[in-house]
Amino acid sequence: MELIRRLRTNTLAFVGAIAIVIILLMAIFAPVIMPHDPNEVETADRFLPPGSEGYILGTDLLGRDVLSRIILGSRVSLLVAGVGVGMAVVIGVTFGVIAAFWAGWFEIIIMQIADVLYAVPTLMIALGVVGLFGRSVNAVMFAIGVAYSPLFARVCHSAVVSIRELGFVEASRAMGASRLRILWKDVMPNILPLIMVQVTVSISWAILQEAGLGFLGMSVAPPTPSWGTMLNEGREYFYSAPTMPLFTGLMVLIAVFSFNLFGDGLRDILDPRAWERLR
Amino acid sequence: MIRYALRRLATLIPLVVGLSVVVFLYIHMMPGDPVQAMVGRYASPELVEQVRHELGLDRPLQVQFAEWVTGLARGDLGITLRSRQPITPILIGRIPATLELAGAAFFISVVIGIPSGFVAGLMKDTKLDYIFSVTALAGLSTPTFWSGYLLVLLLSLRWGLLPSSGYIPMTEDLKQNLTYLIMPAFTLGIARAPYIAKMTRTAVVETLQEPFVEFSRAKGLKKQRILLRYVWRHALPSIAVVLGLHIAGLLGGSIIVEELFNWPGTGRLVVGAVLERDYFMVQATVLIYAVIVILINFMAEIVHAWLDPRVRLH
Amino acid sequence: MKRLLLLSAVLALLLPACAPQVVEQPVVQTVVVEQVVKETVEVEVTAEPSAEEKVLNFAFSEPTMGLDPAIAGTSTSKRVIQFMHDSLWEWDEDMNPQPWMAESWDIASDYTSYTFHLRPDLKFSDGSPITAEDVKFSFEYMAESELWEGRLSVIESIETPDAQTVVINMNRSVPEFMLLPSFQVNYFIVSKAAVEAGADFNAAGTPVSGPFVLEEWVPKSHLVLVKNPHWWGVEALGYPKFDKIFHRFNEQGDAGVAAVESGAADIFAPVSAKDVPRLRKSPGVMLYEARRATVRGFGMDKAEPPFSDKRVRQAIGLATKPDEATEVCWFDTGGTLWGGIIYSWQKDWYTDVTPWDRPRDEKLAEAKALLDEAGWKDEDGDGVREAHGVEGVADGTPFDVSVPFESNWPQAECHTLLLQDWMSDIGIAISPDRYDPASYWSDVLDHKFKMWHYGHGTNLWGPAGFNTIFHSDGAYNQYSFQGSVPELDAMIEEMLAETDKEKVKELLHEIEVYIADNQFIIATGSQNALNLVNARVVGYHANSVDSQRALITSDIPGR
Repeated sequence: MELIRRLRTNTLAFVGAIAIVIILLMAIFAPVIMPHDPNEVETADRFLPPGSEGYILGTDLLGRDVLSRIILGSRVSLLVAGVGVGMAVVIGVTFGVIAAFWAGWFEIIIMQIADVLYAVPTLMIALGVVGLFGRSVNAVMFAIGVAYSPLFARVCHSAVVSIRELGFVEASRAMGASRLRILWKDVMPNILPLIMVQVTVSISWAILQEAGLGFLGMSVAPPTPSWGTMLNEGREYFYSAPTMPLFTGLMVLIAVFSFNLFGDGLRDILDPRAWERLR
Repeated sequence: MIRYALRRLATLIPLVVGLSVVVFLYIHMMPGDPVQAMVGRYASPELVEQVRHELGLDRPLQVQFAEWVTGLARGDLGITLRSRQPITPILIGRIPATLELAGAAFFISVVIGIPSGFVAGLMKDTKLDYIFSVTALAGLSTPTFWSGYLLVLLLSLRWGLLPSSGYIPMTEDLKQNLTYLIMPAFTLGIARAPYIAKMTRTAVVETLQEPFVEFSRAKGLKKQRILLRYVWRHALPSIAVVLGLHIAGLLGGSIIVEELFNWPGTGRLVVGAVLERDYFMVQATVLIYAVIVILINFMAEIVHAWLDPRVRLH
Repeated sequence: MKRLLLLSAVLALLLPACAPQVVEQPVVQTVVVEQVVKETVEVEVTAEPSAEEKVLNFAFSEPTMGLDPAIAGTSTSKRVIQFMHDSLWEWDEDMNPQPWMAESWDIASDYTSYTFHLRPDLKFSDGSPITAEDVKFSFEYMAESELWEGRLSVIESIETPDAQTVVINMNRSVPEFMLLPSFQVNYFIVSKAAVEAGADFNAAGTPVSGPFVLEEWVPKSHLVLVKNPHWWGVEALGYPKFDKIFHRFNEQGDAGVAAVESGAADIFAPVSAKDVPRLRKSPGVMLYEARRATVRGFGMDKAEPPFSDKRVRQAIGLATKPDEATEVCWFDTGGTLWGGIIYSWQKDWYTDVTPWDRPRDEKLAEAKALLDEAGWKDEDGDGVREAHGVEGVADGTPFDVSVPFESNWPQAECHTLLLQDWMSDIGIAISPDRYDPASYWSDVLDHKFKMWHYGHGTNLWGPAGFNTIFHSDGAYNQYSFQGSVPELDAMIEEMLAETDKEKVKELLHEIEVYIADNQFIIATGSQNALNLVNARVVGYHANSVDSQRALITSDIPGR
């Protein structure tokens, strides 16, 4: 495929893509590759340093293997990021496209709201949502959905507006096409690459977001490991086990970096000029 | 110019109003009892009710909202449930700490970001530029709570050079204050530096592509001279807009850094308020944050419009 | 003679410096406050006097409920109040009351009446004398507040035959009267004149009875207390040594601990158990631990299955590992219970009730048998038991319980996770639920949970403690026990009416055995009071009510 070929030429994006695949595989096959049961309490072996027999990355307060928990934690982080961004896409694209189509006051208001949401630090929005719905995975997903939807709304809105101005829509309408058909045939193909890139980048931020919220103590409940909550726990017992949050944070860094690399590369590949117009 | 400003302002006002209603409403829909959290684990139910009545939380919603709004107009943000003290002075009291952190981080991010972005822009498409891109991206991908940990682990735990947390106001002991400031400011600064670096690079690259550059080069001016003389004027509009975003980003990023280093700023205030279900405090801080961001953005837009007249035609 | 005294006192002062890592209190300790204090007073005269103000620095969190002793229920407020107000007696580290505002007291042999003889030199901070009238008024004032009315309901009447004598008559035998105020405070004496004139305790300068007066309180920043020159101890004891207390507010544990470690503050409490391993090795600070007779563990809804069946509760009790909880979650700072509720160091009331102090395999086998008998068997082999013939439960329902804990209490989280691990050994599935602390206790009181984590902060002093938790009308019944058992009520009431100490001990033993047999609550142990103090402080000790008042008779030589 054209895409894969172009991907191969862009080394960084390629590296990012491979890394993403590895991480996804790790998440999917977690139960198989984990050296230990991540929730198994073994108090006799607690706070083992990394490099200990059988526990490459050491153990935590209850003697649970850090490596296994990091591996299993990827599931939560990826799931939350995925669903959260998914929600953001649905909300954002819908509102963005509608706003662009039905121009006028409606458009202005929607885009203003989007601007404000976009400008307010994501963490603040997330804190607000979590404060409302309590600390749970669903709240975090919803928070991410709400916080990132303006991104997609703006992207789609700008894209549709530029298309609108290019006259495709006028022409199609003149030929008698319904709004829906225009949407499907003219608008979507142009927006899709932009959304794809944005999704990739957003997932990377969403992983970071979940980790941040977990760090503040607002993510999944124990004993389920998630990178964010592990960082929070790690902070609690920092002096007894300083390496635990370090390795967990490193994992977050790798995951976020991979998605970013891939996203950047994807952006370059798909349509570099489209981005210049949007900026 | 004025008309443009007024037009933008007109769209902002209903937004702020709507925002305040939303902010007020959602908090009162929250499950959970802040009074119970406040009086602690061992209080009797009667005591809880007594405190609830004292705080006026047992009155109808409209009455509470009306009081809140009229209070806002006077600059009174209500009282915190935690210690029954008025919020406004508390918030104002915390601002210096956050400003100090954000300011220092801003300084660090600019000092690191602009020169490196500048050089990368000059050396576009060379190996240096490549390394720059990757490093910047890695920097963006690094969670602040991780880089912060690393710093604390090395500088505090391992080598005992700096204290891991704490704060003394500048007015009391400048030297100590700076000692406590170094790590959090660095953590936040290097987290934000990549954004500035990338933006600087883009500005440089774009400027270099402008026709007048070719012309100047033809005249014999060196690349660097051209940039130093002309790039600022050219890049200024976009810088103004990005600056607004940068400040918002700093404020957002400071929340986690403040939490990590026990830095008593406004970010920690919000987190604490959310965790404690301190209704009034969350209300006040979320509103203030949002208003500040809206204002900054508004000003950035105005500056942008002023510097780049083309924008006003939109 | 003076040289000898000087030498011994200097040695005594040096000894704590030689053993900074030890958790136990330094050697300079007092049994009776008066004696040793007099010795150190002599030494102070020969040491260099500091010309400037001597300031003590606090690092606690800001008081959240003001400074009125009758109203302030939160520990943040109490930590400041304890320095502003004074009490009739003061406890030493073994919780023995020592003469303080009262020079002496007489207790009726049946504990129905307490007579206190006040010192003649008592004055409020505004110079006005403290009399028996003020004492009487204080008790009445506090008894009106919700915070104290329960505990003070034992008082029938108070007489003041003269200005220096107060007679408190109880409506029943109350042997533990001098131990009732059990969390950071004592019965504090306030000025009748001031209160009746509408004085505000949160305002600077309001007359108080204690060694320090409020000078300034800047919200969200700090407060300042200054020495009360009229306090009786200034003349009689030569204390406090500090002219001022500067209390800079710290928000959470980490900041307060950091403040003491960096030397910015001299004391902080409460220290979290997780910091203990590090603090024990930290230079310049000393960790003071005081044993407390508190309880922590899990409450159960006994009105319905599965916990309505005594056998199920017993099985759960047998499968716990209380020592593991103390070691892992509390880092060995705290006591462990093996089925009983009274700790071995509570000499007046302790009898050996430790049904869980047996090998684990034995206990597990017994637990499994009990569960089988109760109708909970694992027939589908998935490791979790299901109901087979349990009344009120459909066959096949798995034994699956969600156990909430306060999400801002890491020890509770650890404890609940351990519970999950212990119960998996007998086929019960526990799901820890990270619960919102704001709604936690109101939901517990609403009977929302089948099982929940609890921790009592108040000390259980023998009869009074059992009363507050296990009696149907007990003030803390609903937080952990949540039950009403007529036999138990009767046993408790009988014990309360008994005046013979030996007989009380016997009855307590019976009650403890009864409770252990029924496993009304799962109790795994206690938390110790942990105070972090500047290592240079001399004469400090923590006590079981987690009071820091020993600072009043402490000093930092050379400051």
